[in-house]
Formats: sequence, C-alpha cells, structure tokens
Amino acid sequence: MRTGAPMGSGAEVFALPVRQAFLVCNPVAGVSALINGAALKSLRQQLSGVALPESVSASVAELAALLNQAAPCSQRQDQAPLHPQFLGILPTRACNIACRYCDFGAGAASHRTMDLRMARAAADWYAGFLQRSGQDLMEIHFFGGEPFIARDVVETVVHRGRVLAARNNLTPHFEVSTNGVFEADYARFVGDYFDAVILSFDGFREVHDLHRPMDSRRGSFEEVRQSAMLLAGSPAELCLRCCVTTANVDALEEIADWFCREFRPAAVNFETLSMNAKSQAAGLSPPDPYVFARSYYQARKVMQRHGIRSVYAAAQSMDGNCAGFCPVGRDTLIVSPDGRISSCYLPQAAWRQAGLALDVGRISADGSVTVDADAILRLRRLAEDKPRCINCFCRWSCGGGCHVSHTPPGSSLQYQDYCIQTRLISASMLLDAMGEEQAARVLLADRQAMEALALQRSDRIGVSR
Amino acid sequence: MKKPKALRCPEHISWIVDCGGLLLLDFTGNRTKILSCSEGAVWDLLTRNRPEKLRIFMISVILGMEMDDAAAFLSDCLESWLRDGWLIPCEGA
Repeated sequence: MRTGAPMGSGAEVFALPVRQAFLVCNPVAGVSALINGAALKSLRQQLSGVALPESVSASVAELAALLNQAAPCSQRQDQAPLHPQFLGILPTRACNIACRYCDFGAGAASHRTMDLRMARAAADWYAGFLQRSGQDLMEIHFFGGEPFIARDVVETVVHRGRVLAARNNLTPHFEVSTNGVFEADYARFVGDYFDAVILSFDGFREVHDLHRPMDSRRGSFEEVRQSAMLLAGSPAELCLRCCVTTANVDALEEIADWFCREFRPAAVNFETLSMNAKSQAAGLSPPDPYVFARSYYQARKVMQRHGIRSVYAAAQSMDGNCAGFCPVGRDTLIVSPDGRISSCYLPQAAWRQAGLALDVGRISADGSVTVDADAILRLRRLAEDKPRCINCFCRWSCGGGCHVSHTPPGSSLQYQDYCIQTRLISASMLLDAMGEEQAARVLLADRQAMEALALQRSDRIGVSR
Repeated sequence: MKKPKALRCPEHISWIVDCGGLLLLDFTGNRTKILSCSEGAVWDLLTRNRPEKLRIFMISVILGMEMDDAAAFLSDCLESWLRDGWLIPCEGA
C-alpha cells in the first residue's frame, strides 16, 4: 500500500465532467489531464491522504504530485511595490460615432479634452517613475470615447513619450483602442507611431452597421474596413475586436475567416455584449452562452489554420495572477481628462453605481501627481474577494471578469452567462492543449454535457471553500 | 519676424519611424538623414499640415520649452531641411 500525499494547502486542483470522463487541472501549475471516473476516485483519495493499493497508485500518485503544487498570488502581490501594467490616457470621453451598445457613456459625455500640459505631466511622471524603479518598458495605452477625436492630446503624449524614452533609455510601447473612423491620411500616423491598434470591427457590413452606426442615417463599416486595410499594411500590430450579439454569433467562423484573409491581423478578440440600457433599447442582446462557446471554438479553429491568434480575454492567461485580464488590480493608472487617475477606463458613474471606488490618484493643475498606495493595495485584493469565483477553475484567468458589470460587490453567487461561456471556453482550451481536440468538439456539440460542466457548483477536488 | 514659408515634403522623400527617432530616405539622391525624436515630432506635425500656431504650441509642450524657444526650434529645423532639400516650398507660396 502507498500512502497518499494530502493536498497542499495552497494547491488549486479542480475536476470537471467532460461527458463520461473528467478534466482534472491545476491551471496555475499548468497541469491538466483527462481521466475516467475510477481514476478520479483514486485521485481524490490520494489527495486526501488515503492509502491506495500499489497496483492503482503509481500513475495516480504521479498525477497527484504534479497537480499538488501551490499557487502564488496574493502574498506576493501584497508585498510588491507599485508596478503599473501600463499608463492609460483618456484624451476625451466623447466619440464620433453612435454605437448602439456603447456602455462608455460616450453619447452623453462631455466634449472636454485633456489639457496638453496635464497629458505631458502624466507622461513625465510615468517616465520618472519607471526610471526610479528600474523598469525599462514604457507602456502607454489610449482609450476613449474615441481617442483620435482629441488628436492634439494623443500626438502630444506620443511625441513626449518618445522624447522621454530616448532620453531615459526606455522602450516605448503605444497602444490604442479605436473605432477606426478616421481619414485615410491619418492612418499613416497611427500605423507609424503605434505598436498595437485594437480596432473595433463587428464583422460583415450588415451587423457592423447595425451595431456601430455613424449616426441615425449610416453605418461605419466602410470607414472601418478602410482603416483596417491601411493598418494591416502598416508596421503596427493590428488586433480586431468583435462584439458578439445574437445578430452575429452564428457567423463567427465566417467572420474569423474573412478577417484573417482580408486583414491578416495579429489577433482577433471576440467578446460578448455587456447588456446596458442603451443596448436594450436598441434591441441588441448577448448571445446564448452555450452557442457562443461553440461558435468561438469554431472561429478559433479557423484562425489556428491561418496562424492567427484568437482571443477571448477571460480565458487567455493562466499566469497565477488572480487579478485576471482586467486592468483593475494590476496597478494600472488611467488618467481622465479631469485629472483623476483610476484603474478602470469605464466612466466613474458606472463603477460608483456598482459600489466600487476605483480612483487611485490625481494629477493637479500644476502637474504634480499623487498615487494612493492604499487604494492600489485595496484593488490588488479586489479580484480575490469574489465569492462566486472561489470554487471555479477559471478564477485564475478570468478573475471575475469586469468588476463593474460581471462581479460587482454583492453580486449573486450563481454563475451568469458570462461565467458559463468562460468555463466552457476555458475547458475546451485545456482539452485542446492536451491534444484532446475531439473531446472538446464532442463536449461542445452536446448541450447536456456542456450544462453539466458549466453549471457544476464547485470544481474543487478537495473541500470547497 | 519673417512670415514662415509654407513647406512640404517632395514625393521622392519617404521616412521610417522607429523608437530612436525617424529616418528620412531620399530615393532620388540616394541619401538618408536621421532625425532625433524631438526633430521627428516637428517633422510629423509639419508633414501632416498641422497649423503653424498649433505646431508651436504642441512643440512647446512636447519639448517643455517656452513658446518663443519652440518657435525658434521649429524655424531652425525647417530652415535646415529646406536648405538640404528634405522640404520644398509649396506651389504658390
């Protein structure tokens, strides 16, 4: 008889039903296996310290040892000094188009743009901070509204950033999220000076124009397609971001194929619609999460054949940082036109309404910058404090999704549609990574099997928390 | 103070942007010229026809200069590029 090693206190070991089999994994350690019910029973015993017959235990013990690795996470983060994922600049909250699902409040936003001296102060502070802390990557991201309707701000920050980087031996990296509605001439500036462009593009003309009209009379498809073409031929890395609703969920495979052939992007990011009053009034709805998971998987396969990366943000990284993909919790500093520094790019009213306080500092009129260390620390812990996520195998990559729209304080313990699709996509990606593509396909073709996996209350092999 | 001439980049001149600045390429003269990031900012604003006053203001902010110093810096850049044929006067200017 061999005595099992009890599960380490920090180990995160999960088991998910995949029809008659079980996917066991420790996402942080990067270990996963597809096993049968008898093996799962032995594994549970092994991990709880029960002695097993020698004949059964060798391979189970080996798997248990691999799975039984502790996760890092909060202890490391709590001690760490400020390390912003990037500096965000919001040149303006205003926008030049009228997306029917916009939850950034652009329609009602002030047309105020950031003062150029404030923009410079933000870049100066960031460069100084990087130098003092011995970091050499100067990563600046622009959000909106639409950043390129406040071009003076964008250009000032880009040029100031480049001057500072050259002076201080930093490597500049500029990224922008844009609707792509700008003149062909301007695409040269964007392509030349930005390292990465995240372009919102919702697929074929009919749906794109339905989702993202210029105004009540016409869509933005032609402008966006032209920008995508021009940027595809530029040195910038082009990432297309497609919002998925019931209107385009069934066409993701075709959209992915068209994007890959026509624009050769570095990546295509598919994200489902976040419902809000505006999208509801426009009659737009998020897709069924089971249908989305299947469609996303098919689109992913098409993109793999083209050698292009597909992205579903909540399933991207299993990097042991439970802050997930959201900038909140990663020390991110995003400067608004009014000088507030926040970790979230959504409007202040949206996160306040959700009971959150996401401001972490301020730039004053004289250009001095204050960052509140306590606020940074509080936000680092935010992703860990998600009761719904505590027993979910996706907590390391998803981190509860958006703190404002998916898991605000006091949100229900029940899995939401967002959780369901994230769980299915994450599981299918783990199966793919193990070479079990057929198991992933069969799972995603079987609604009952999908429900069994997606709705399982606790994925933990050991005691649920 | 002289009224600044309207200038433009001739068709045979192109450029490449990298993190150290900007490389001008003259396809007719088979020559190149490296611009620093500061000079590159002037080149960018000029070749995209940003208005003169705005150029001076933006360069003053980008380089942390007084407006007069920014105007002088711009003027020096433009004169030197015009002299060396990297820029030419606009027709009718």
